[in-house]
Amino acid sequence: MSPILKLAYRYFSKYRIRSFSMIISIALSIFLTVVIGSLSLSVRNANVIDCKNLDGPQHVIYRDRNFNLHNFKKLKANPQVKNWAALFYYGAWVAPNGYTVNLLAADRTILYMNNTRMQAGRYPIHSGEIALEAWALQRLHLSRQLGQNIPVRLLNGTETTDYRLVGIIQDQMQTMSTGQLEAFIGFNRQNLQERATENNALNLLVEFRDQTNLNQTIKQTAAELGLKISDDTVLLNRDLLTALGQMDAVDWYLVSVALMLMLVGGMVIYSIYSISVLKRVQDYGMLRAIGSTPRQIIGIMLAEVAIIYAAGALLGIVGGGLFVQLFKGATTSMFIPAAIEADNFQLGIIMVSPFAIKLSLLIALGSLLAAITRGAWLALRVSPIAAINRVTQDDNINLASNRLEKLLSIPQRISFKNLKRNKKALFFIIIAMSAGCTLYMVESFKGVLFDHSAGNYLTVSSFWSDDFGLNVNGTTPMARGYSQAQVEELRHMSAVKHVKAMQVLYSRLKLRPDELNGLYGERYVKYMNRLEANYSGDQRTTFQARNRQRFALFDRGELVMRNTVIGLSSHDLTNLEKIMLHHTHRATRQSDLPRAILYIPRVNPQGTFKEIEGVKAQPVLNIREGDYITLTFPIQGYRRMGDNVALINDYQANKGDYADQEFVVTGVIHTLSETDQTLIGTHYGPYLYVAEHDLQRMTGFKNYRIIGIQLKHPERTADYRLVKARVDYLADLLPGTFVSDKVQFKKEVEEGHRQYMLLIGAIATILILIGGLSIYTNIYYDLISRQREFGIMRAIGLTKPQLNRMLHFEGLLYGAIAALASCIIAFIIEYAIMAYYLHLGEDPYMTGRFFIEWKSTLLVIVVNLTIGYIAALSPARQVNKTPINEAIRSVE
Amino acid sequence: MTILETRALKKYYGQGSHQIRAVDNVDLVINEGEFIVIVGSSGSGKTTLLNLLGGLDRPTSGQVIIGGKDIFAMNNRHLTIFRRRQIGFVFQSYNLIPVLSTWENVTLPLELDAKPIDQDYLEDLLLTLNLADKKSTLPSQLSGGQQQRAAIARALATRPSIILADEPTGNLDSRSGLEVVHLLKNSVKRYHQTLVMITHNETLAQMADRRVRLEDGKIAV
Repeated sequence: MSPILKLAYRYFSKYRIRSFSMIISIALSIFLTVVIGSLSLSVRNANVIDCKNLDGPQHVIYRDRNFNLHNFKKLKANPQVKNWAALFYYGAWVAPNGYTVNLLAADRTILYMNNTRMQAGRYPIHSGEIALEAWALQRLHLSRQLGQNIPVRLLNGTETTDYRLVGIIQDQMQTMSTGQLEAFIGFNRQNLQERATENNALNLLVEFRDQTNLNQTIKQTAAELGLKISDDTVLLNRDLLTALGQMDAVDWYLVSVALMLMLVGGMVIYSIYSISVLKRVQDYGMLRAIGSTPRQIIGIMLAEVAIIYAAGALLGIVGGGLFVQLFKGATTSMFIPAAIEADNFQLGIIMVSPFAIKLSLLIALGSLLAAITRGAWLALRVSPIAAINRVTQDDNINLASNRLEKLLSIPQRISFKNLKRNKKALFFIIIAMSAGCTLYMVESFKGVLFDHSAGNYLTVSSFWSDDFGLNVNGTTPMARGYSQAQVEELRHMSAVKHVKAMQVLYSRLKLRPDELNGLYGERYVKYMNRLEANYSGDQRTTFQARNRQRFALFDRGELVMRNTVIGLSSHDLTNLEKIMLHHTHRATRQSDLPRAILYIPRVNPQGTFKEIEGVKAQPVLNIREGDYITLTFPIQGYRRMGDNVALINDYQANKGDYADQEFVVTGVIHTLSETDQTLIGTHYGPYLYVAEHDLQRMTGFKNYRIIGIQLKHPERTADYRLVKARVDYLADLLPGTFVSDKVQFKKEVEEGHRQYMLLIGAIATILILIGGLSIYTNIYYDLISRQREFGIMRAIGLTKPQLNRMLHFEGLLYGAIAALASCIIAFIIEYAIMAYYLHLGEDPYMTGRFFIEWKSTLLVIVVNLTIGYIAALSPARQVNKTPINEAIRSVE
Repeated sequence: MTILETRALKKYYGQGSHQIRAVDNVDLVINEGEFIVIVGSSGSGKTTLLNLLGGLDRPTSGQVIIGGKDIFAMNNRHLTIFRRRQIGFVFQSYNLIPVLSTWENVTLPLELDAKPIDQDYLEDLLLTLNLADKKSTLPSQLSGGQQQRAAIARALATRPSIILADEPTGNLDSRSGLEVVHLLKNSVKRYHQTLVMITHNETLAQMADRRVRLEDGKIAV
């Protein structure tokens, strides 16, 4: 074996603790990088799978209003196309119990596109055949008997047609959780001929092959199919495309985590290796004196470090790769910030990230090379003779005493002075320890902060916090809804924790032209009118959607714009004011008018809701707190039980039914609170939140149209079934009522959140471990290297208890300083985070003042002090064990 | 009056044929106020003997009696305190605490004992040792001679009955070395202390009241 390798190996095995510490440091850093990177990749992959599950695997839907069937051949012949399905809207089936079911005619591939399959029977092919999901059958009070005849009467139709149930489709969570009822009939010429009208379109759902340049291919295919590219004809599966884009994008979060880990781990390596080299300065001097070149000296260092690198890398990669498999099957909704836009999904496939492995190896190598560079500089900067004679003392010690030192005993003073002397080691210890502790504290703080914010959000927006939701259909007469007695009955159910009941009024705002916010407002109005005019959805109405100004129009110099009013209880309105208006100036104008909180949508410069990177959305209206606002609503028509859709959309024809009511705006918000889930109560329009007693006084209606129910124990099946039965019963009382069931969804979200916190905890723990390793090693070697000093002190009369107290004090001092540094850095970051969200209004649900998260702070202090104390134990033992005369003779 | 006595003092390392008898059955009597020099060739056991006399090392067998007390009958704590109060050490490599100033190094044994500091005595000591203007200076900023004088001052600070000096001039030039020994001799005379010193230097050895020669761990006759 070459002498270089032999020496390298001897150093490696002689200084076992140092070598081990460096290996562990590298291994932990690589381990964590691999785990995070692999989870991130797996999450992105799961995000892609989840997008495919929720919205289908199609990358694009081509909407062909010409019903050109020749396009089928083109798609079949296109080598880039992996799968495709054809679908068109056949009609709305009004079931006897009042529910509306969307009848869709599609070929069998639609099952693949909807990520479902046949549970029983077969997919409909011929006319007169139908298939539904099992939950839909239950909602429609139909049995699961295949072959049964189901009478179907279309909306606006007079005849009833019998369809034979030929198949039952497996439940899709998305349709089930939103209550969207669908039924499928065969895609055949007869069905096609009946529905190929100008108001309808043939939808071609296309999935392209992997590795395709999707942007380019989508456009090319559109051109091949003879379609002009527009938002109306080419409907991108944005979520899927974004998810696929994320798979290929650089994971900058991972890069930042890896760099931070390597910084922390690198400092451990750097400081240990520096100590190691300093202790061998004489050896290197001797080697040089007998003829070794600097290159050979560096070769020894490289060889030694190569062994450490290989061992650490292997441990880290294998450990990380194995550990990440434990997350298989985990459910996560916010696992990695990079995938935070993704919804809840399950990690069915765990992928070990090659990028993470390469990145961690590269950065670890960088750390080691930096350590070697420093080591080489230390070893080679002095002449061989000077090195042999150990003339390497730093003369520039300036240790003026201060008042604090005068309060300390002499052994403590020595410890304190040594601390001041070893500023570099102290700096490294602080940085290494602070990184992990700071991250832990900041994440804990964020957890509490966002929990608080989430709590506020869920308080004012019950849709996501409720286990069950009832939303009366927009077409149901406004005079109808759920009574106070029915709501109270729900409240008194033993399984129910909380019920929130709200009133709804579909109305319009009368605005002055200057109350529109310039071009934003104008373009918004045009966009909304176009959007509403194109919509041909809910057809439980006689109103014809040809009116191009159904959303907003000018009447006698006023802009009359659609909006929705939500009537809240005093308690809920107070909560809304407290949470959403905390950062705004509340109107103090004295007024007898009823109060309202106004939600104003924000749009991009084109007047749409599409997010444009780098462009901040602006509100569509110029209304401020303290302004008056006029509400107008077709009360006479509502009292007559007229057609809500026609009443609210055809303003000109129904103006006579409208009555006005003025409100004073007590606050303006730009984030929606409670919303009506029906189409009339569009989320794109302004909302007014008022006291329910004001709404009742205005309209005379006392019913509730939105109910949210939270269970005490959603995990209890019996409770779930009991409440669900009641909810279904109430829904049946008002046909067409939307029912949402989010019990399962919420379980998965909570589980995901728990696992996210576990992961953050694991990251912080490992960072603390690495930091702890650094502090331990630095303290250990600092104390061990002062054997002679301690020997002298023992020789002149330092007793064992005095020595122990001194060393423990020094360890605790390091720990205390590291704790202080961690806390200060963490508090600064936490304050900045809070200021960002609170004062810049980035999170409207963020309230309150800066706080200290005491649990994590105390834990960090205890951990630092403990590690500092423990780090001194072994040196204390070693120093005490060494005979005094031996210690005095030891070479530092 | 006898201040220090050894009885059949032995320090052996190892066993059997590999055994090293660093100190082999040494009987030594030192009177109060004497200046004793221990001489001998390298490896004769001088430093080992000095370490045993000062309680820095424990013997294989035998006794060291200082001021009528068998020091190895004490436990470690009492021995340390005894050493702190009764014995002053001067090492070859000065062995000052690098982060403490001259004054702090000198007062270190007193502070360890939590004893009040006799400012006048120590100021006088530093003056005698020509270190009065170096009180705030760190060891790294002192010359070799100055560092050794500071070490001497530390050894004398507690007014010990015995001063043990192991080659105190070993790292000094001849002039400084002579100076240091003169200082030591004058100090012990002044404060009625006993000085036991190891040296290779014949000139310095002649300054002593008595010579003790060690050969192979035994006192040579």
